[in-house]
Amino acid sequence: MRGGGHLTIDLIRTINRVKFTGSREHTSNVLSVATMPSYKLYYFNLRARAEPSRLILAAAGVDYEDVRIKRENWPAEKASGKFPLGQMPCLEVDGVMLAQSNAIARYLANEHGLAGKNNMEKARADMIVDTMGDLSPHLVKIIKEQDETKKDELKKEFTSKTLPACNTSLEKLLIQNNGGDGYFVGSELTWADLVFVNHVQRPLPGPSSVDAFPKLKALYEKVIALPKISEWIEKRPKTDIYETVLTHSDDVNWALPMFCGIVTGPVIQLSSVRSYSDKTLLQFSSRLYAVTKPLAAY
Amino acid sequence: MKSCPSIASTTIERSEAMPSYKLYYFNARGRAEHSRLLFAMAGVEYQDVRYTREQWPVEKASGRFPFGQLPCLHVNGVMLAQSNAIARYLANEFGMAGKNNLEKAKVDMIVDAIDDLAQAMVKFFHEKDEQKKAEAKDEFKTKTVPILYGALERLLIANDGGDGFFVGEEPTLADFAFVTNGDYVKKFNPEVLDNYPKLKALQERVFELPRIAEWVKKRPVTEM
Repeated sequence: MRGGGHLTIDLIRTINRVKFTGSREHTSNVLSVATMPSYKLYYFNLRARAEPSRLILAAAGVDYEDVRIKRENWPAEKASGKFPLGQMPCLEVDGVMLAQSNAIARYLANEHGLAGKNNMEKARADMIVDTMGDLSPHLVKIIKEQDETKKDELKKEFTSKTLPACNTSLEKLLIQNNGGDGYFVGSELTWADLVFVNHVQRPLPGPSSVDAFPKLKALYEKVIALPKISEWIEKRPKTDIYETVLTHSDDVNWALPMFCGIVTGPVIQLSSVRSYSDKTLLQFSSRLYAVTKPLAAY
Repeated sequence: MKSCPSIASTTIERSEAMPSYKLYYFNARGRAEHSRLLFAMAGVEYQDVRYTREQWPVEKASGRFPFGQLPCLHVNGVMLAQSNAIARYLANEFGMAGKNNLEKAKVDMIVDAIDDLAQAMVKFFHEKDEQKKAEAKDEFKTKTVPILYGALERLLIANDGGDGFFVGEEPTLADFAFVTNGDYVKKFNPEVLDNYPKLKALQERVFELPRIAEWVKKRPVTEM
């Protein structure tokens, strides 16, 4: 909890929250002065599995501590026993450590009126989020594949088959909601739309993946243009060079080949890889870029 | 409120009060069983539709299942897909999802962690390469399960000592997801729960709940 000096700000925010976001728990005109919980979100310096929660918090206009743990510090943090499933992201709230990215995101969505208005809407949001979640095993498989040829095959299959199939389902789901020119669920923004933004912004292959899906594309552009969302996208740490690198595993053996595969294409291949810190990755990236830039002229 | 109910309006009111549920899946426990346990626990009627291997391709081609996948839940004219979206919807409707948002998050955390375990199982189940399969199975037994079960045991104990249920004071979706998945873990690792006394007792406790015991007795016996 923050100290007394911030109580006024908390109070004002609470009033705004109750008055303007219409939290389903406060339907009367009497303002209940619920004190704002303090949130601490723990993850790596990545978007990946924590970004939906960050987008939800941004949309809700809620402050939180955005803790980004360095890769080299993770083994010690993990060993501390602080993270109940030995994984991140985690959300610390009210003395409780919540794990599992969707459990966290859904909790924040529920708390801040971004989950859907009734159980059926919430179920629709869940269904849409889970449809995107079905991609995770494929991505993890790509990331973990050491053989470069196989990796390229898997990537091609992902971008030409698996992802379009998912987007086809998503477009169908969107159209189910009153023709598809609004949000995914009901008539307002929900976390399903925010998870979708993160889905589109995955570097493999990036926003071009929705070019073939007009309704999805329109939704994506609508959501990233929302003031609070565009503000967050503008100011958040830029992590694109790391984004291809992982999920929640502390196993970085596969990190560099994958990274190099994105940055250099077939030009440079690195074989045996051990652990690399973020700093090393940056050094590699600048050296590789220096090498490949002249090649690009050909 | 209608002041003079005719038979017609009484009938309408009755069917409005009780939605009709149709749960579609294969003839297996798999990804539908935790939903079936919720129905059993709540004492709510539903149509337990089970497609055979021969029936499914035909049904799938009909386009009735919007994403070509099972399980699906048909309720109030809507077809819901995704096993956990369905289960969570039912849990919320039946008051077995947790009593507030934080409890619900704890339930979700456990359900998702168990799902990760299920994914790991599916992975080596489908692995064709014998060597890789053996390695994956070994990793499952010696690393994946102990890590998760160790964490679940701690989470259970954190809930008031661990002699009740995972979250709050009553059974929730978390408990049903655990025992459903546990049936499969047992196949690869029959004595695994001996290392986790509270989890073991929880499993027994869940299966002893009268409505669950009754369902388990009468449900179709299937290998998966």
